[in-house]
Amino acid sequence: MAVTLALPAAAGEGESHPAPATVIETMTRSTIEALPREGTAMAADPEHYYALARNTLKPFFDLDRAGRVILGPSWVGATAAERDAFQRAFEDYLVTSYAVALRHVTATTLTVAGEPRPVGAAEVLMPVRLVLVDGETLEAELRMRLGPSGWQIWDAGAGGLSVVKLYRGDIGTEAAVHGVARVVDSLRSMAARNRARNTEEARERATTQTRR
Amino acid sequence: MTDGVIPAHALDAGFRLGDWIVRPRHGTVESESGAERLEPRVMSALVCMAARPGDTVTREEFIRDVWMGRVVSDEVLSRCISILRSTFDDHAHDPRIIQTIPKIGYRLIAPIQPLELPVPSTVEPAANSVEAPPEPERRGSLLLELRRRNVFRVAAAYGIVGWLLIEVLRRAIEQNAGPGWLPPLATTLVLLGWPIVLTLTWLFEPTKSGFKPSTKVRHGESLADLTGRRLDYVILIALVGALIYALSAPLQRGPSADADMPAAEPNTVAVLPFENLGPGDADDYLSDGLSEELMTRLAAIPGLKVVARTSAFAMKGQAADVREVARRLGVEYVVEGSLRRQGDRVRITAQFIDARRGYEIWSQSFEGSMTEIFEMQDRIALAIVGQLPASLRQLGAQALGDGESPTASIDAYQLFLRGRRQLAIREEGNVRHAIALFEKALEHDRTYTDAWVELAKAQALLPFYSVELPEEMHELALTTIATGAAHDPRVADRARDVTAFIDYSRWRWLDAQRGFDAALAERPGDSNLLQWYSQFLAAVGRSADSLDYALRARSIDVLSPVVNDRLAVAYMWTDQDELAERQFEVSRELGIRIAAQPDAYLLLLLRRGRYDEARTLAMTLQRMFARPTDWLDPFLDYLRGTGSREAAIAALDRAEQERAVSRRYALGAWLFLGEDDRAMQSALELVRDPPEFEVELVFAREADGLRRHPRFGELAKALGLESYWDSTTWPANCRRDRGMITCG
Repeated sequence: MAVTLALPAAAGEGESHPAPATVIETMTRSTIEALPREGTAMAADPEHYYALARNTLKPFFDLDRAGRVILGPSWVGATAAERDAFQRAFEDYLVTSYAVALRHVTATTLTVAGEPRPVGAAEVLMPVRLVLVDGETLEAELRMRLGPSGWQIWDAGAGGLSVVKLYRGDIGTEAAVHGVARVVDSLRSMAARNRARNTEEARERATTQTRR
Repeated sequence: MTDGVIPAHALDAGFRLGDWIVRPRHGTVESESGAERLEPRVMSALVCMAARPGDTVTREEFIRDVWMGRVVSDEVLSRCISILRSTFDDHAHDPRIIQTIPKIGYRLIAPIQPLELPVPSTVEPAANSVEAPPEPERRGSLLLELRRRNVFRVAAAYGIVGWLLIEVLRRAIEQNAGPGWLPPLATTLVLLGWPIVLTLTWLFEPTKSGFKPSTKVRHGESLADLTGRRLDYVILIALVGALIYALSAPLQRGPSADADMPAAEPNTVAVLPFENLGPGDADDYLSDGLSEELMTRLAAIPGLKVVARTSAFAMKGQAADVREVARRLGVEYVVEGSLRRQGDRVRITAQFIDARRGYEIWSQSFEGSMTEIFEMQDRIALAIVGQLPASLRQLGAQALGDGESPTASIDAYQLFLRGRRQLAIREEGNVRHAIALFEKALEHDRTYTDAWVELAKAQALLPFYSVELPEEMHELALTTIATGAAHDPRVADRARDVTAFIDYSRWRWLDAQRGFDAALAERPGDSNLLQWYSQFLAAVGRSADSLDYALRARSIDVLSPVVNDRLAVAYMWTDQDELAERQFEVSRELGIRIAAQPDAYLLLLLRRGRYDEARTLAMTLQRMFARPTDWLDPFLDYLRGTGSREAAIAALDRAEQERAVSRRYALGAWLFLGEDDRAMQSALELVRDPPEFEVELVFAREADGLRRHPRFGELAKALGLESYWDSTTWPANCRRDRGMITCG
């Protein structure tokens, strides 16, 4: 991975790209607008949230970069087909892991909590406040990078912990020890388990709502 | 608890705080086990909170009331609170005295009660009473009589005037090279005279016909009242005189105050950040850089211990008395000064102060153009060396060498100083900025040795503060060293600590050992190096030595968050959990984040039975990972003693199969559950990816099952420890018997 050695630049409005804070606000607003109304059958279907994540949220994230950093040296040694398979499996795993939480999203779920801190010429850490499902508030940071598509999120952290680093310790280690193909299999298995669990939970919720 | 606001004067005489008695005037806190003295600033912070019992005192209010509005860093306030907690044996996580209100401030939660002053009896005992008055009454009447005969006033007036005389005499002798035996003689005479004068004051009273024995003074004859009023004026005038004297000679210090000062370690010096007298802060990098240059040069003198940058710079902007600074840093000497730049001209003033005795040994101003700055630095360093004790002077002159300029390019030098200033702030953006500045400096001068070394160090450090891959950045740092060495072979020697640290990260233990040995021989007082070496020693199973080096690092860099955090971990590996717990609190008060050592901190929480906090931390990790947390509660229930081991094992087994738990945490959890085979299996798998395996954990007491496992030899071999131990020495608790390695 190339290291950005240039001086930190001010993270404001680019020539034609919205600023990082605007990107986050737009993302939250787009998600809320795309969410189904309460009580619809769609709300109980996890597939809807997967689609929502893919169609609405994906443009705000640079999963390609996150995947490269997670695999680290294994990315360099992987074939084009392996890289492609990994990116697809990784995206599917993330979608099935996080997307069902979208049903709890409100205007206050994710808010900008400060000014962006430059960590390179085209990279900032954006302080945000995240309200978790149980109501707990988490002060977090989104790592955003300015690319051809504007500012995109590619890592999240809290208390100095980084999601990408956590995944690197797990998925990255597996790739280093067993190879990328094995990681792709693992990600697919985990995504399948996520799907099964999410579907089961959605069914239980629907049953509970019907009883009420 | 007393509600509302307590007037300051009510607290001044003393107050109860829980089981403690606080005496602000004496600067002490007392408990059944004895009294402890607090620094004035720490006491002020305590009184500030005590004046508003139960209320939260914000940082801004502390600054206003304790530091009189001067801007101080958060670390300074945190340090005050940390000292108070340590004094009261209080803990941030389970407070009894001081509660942290996150992002707001602190408040006292223990009951506060001002001490009641003893009310003197107003009833005079009957003159011819047969029975003696009750004890309190006698005590009350004695106090009244002492007051009536002006014994207290005379004691105060004598003390102030006596002190003033001694100080003036001492100053005159120091400035005029008078006989050194005179001040101690004067002090002795003044002290001997004190009880004599008080006895005479008690025995004789002034009357219109002169002094008479008190027993012979008739009613209405005594002039004690009038004398008392006159004495009040004397005391007032003497106090004003003492104040003027103290302000005119800030570096003078009385003998009584000297007695309170803990003995500084001999041959220790702190170079305080030079003050930038220029407009704005644009030249701060230059004044800071000058201080750092002097630190580096003085640190090269064998036998002279120089306080590290983090701690010395923590004093920046505090306007504290130089003696207090020296006491806090535990040094004998202090170097301070100022710098002013106007265009190309630079004016530097430097002072070398004997902080314990409290006087300036040497002071000089230097002026020249920017191109002469290295020469000025050399002259300052040489002048300081000339003032050191004789035993250090010759070594110092040798260590300073021929004063070769580090670079011929002033532009490169200024970029280098800016880079080093950024690198001192260990945050991702700053480390990256430092890298960019060092690279620019090298564009101006490819033979700039220090710039190559600092660039390599910044590159090696970056992965700890960013998502950069350690292996890639370490490779880059090694390339930098090799490229630098091609321009100047000294780069390789000077960057030995960086190379050793990279070798340690790659588990090349023997190379790391040699590198650290060489670097430590060159720079035994480098706190960063000592801290890295402490990490290394813990990883090769030398926990006691690791603690020793962590303590050495801390003695040089008292206020460094990283160094304090390392010490906490070193305490853990030597099973001093209480000290580790307190040390973690100190490092967190100084600003370190949990993430610096999440595994060790989580382990500490489990060791100390702080299961709820452990659960919160583990839950956060799991949630960020978007992974189920089902296994956590059965596991913690087992540790709490409320759940079965079988249930915990089943939950963890399931979680591991479903990849719901990271391998690192699975390894730790298996060890806690006593499932040594499973733990060894996880360890052998993890060990194949060095950056993800925390070698130090192998020597924790929880890993006992791992170290006694029949396959431990396999693990030790995979870690490269067996060959390292063969080439050096085996840890006392490890042995190899017929090919099988075990560590107790």
